[in-house]
Amino acid sequence: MKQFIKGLFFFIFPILALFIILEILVRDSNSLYKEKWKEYTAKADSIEILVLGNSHAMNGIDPREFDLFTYNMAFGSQTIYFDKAITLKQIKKMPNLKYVLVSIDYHSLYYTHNKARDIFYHYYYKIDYNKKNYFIEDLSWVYALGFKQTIREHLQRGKTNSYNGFVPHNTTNWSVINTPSAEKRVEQLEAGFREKNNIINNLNEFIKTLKKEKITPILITLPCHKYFNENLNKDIVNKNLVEINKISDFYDVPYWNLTNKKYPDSLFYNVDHLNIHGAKKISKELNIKIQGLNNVL
Amino acid sequence: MLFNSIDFAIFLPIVFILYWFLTNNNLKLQNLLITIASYLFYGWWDWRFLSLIIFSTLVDYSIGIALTKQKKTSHRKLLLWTSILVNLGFLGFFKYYNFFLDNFITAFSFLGQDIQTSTLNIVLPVGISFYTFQTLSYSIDVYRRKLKPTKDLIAFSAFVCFFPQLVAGPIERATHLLPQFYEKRKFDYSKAVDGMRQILWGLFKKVVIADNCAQFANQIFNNSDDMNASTLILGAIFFTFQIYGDFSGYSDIAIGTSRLFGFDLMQNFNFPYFSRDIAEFWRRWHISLSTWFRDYLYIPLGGSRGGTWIKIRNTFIIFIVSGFWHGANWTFIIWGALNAIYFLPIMLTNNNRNNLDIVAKGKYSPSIKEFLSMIITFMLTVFAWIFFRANTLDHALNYIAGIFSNTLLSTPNIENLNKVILTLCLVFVFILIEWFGRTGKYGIEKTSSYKPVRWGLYYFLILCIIYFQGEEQQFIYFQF
Repeated sequence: MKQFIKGLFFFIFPILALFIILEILVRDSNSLYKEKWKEYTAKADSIEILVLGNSHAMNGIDPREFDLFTYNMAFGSQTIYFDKAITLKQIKKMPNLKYVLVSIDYHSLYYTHNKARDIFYHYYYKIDYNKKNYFIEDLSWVYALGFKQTIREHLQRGKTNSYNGFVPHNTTNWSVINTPSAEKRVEQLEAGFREKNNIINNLNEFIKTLKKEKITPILITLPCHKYFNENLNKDIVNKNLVEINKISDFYDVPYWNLTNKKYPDSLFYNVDHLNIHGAKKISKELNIKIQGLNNVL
Repeated sequence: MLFNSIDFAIFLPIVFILYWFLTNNNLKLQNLLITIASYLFYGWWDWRFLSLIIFSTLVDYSIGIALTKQKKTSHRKLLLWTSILVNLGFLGFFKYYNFFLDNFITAFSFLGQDIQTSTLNIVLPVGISFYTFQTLSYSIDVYRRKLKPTKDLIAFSAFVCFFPQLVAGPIERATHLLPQFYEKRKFDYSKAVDGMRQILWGLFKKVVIADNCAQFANQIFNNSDDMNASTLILGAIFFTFQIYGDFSGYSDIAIGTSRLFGFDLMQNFNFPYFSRDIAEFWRRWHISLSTWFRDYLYIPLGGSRGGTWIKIRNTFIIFIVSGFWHGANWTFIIWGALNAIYFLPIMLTNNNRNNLDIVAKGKYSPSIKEFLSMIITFMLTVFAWIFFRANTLDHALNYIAGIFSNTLLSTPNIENLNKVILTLCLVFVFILIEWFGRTGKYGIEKTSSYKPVRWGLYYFLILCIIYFQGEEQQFIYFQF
């Protein structure tokens, strides 16, 4: 038995060593989540406009185009649950916060959370989805993220090209600006649809809290390419509009739906994300609208 | 609890330590620990179905004892049939109830009779087909007086629920496994090292080969209507390696784990894809099930004795029953029948025992004849697996029609072609390792005697498991 345990130890030792090295590297390595949270907390007292939502907002709203100091805390697949948690966790540290832009897109009211990404909110934002227990994930980040993910993506990620949380796509990916890509994208989004009642409750609570804190929530829907819009389920689009307008009317908060306007192809990265030029244009438009609100208020 | 889960990675060392360090080599304590650990292992999935295993254990234990006390043949027969009916009754209800009901309704609707009834939403207990056959082997062998019934309930319970092979085999014969529970077990270094090696090989087969192939096999089979012929062929080949990697991988882990506890389980796979004819394939594929059917069904039916028609009948019965054992679906029955059709010409011409040794024994490469025989057998197997994998008979037939369409020479229309190529490369490495290790009991049993080379191979396999692991899939044979 002794010989077996000794042999096993010597055999496992290099693997264990590799594992520990990876564990240290992964905990120490840079990631967009880490970077954004660090910046968000560091600049909290200056933030006047906070942008929330999924990748549509992360890639589509450029804080540089706003007159008020803006920070973009939107992230790929970020749901309303996390929008709310991210804001409320720091709300007391943002004394100048006036507006919170919440991007509500085609799928936003149907996504509770994204299992694969919840762990990042736990690691970097210290926000747990529904108070989930992350005992094993805390013991080993490498295990939780997966070796492949760790080695391939996480360690390779250098400093990201972001500005106040905004992560731009610099060009148009012409190979995916077409109907089949749009169909596939819509299909992908719809495959993740879940029950929406909890999500709407969350949104209601979020708006109530913001209003109590004298912060103006602004609901927005960002533009997508016509190929994408043409492939959307019209019933879902209409239901979304009814829901959002209901909330907007009930709480008397603005809702800016930017999907009706037509924008040239060159402003998009793919069928449902703006590129840097699109983000610039839309952000300017949003800035003007906020100025209008400012004047009224 | 899955073998490739973190739960099992924690469970196994704990049970191992308790087994060797806490029981002080006390046989009764070791058997008790195995029983408790096995119930925990099974209950991790669904504790409610533990009652089925416990009930089955008690019935067969009692019948075994009763059989020794009964001298009258008619009474002994009655006891045996009680065991068979109880065990197959559970299996029939959980596995086949809805199938028979559906077919009953369909048959009557053909006769113009509409029967209004609804099927039940029955959850199939994991591993029921495996432990049912294992306990049946006990009752039958006691009845045949090949085995003395045990009075040790703990040892018998451990035999029925022995966790390494409880849910997906190998289906052990009571005559082989049960006596091991009566023998004093001492830790055996070489056995334990060999067990670890076999676990590693099993994990590689499951996590790297089966799970990666599964991704494409599922994608192609689930969208077969939109795929061209070359893609459909690729899908069938991927499934061929998926099912082999999955099932033989499980068996390897089961056998390896058993060896850590001092047990020897029977070999379940013996490099089946290197077979030169279907008879050889069936001597090398799921050996524990094939031999179970041979011993408890084929031979009692008369085996290959008797006239040609008896031989044909028995061959069809054993293959169809074997197919049906896999699941309540006509696809499995056709898969079995197809294998019977492959097998019959070989048997009727008395060529079924031509290839008893492993191919190209003592050589690096096969002869051209051997190579061609292997390819033909492999292709026949791939074809039969289409029925096994398809959801319905229509699905299988459409899939085959798709293969024989005019798109046979077109390039595969599958997403992520780079990953397809990578997976094929992994399969190629796997075949190479299996080829050079084909004289052993599993692919890496007989590796180099030079330690750095041996350990290098193990580290390579571990890195592959870590880096190339496919999306986790449940073991296919759990559903049987």
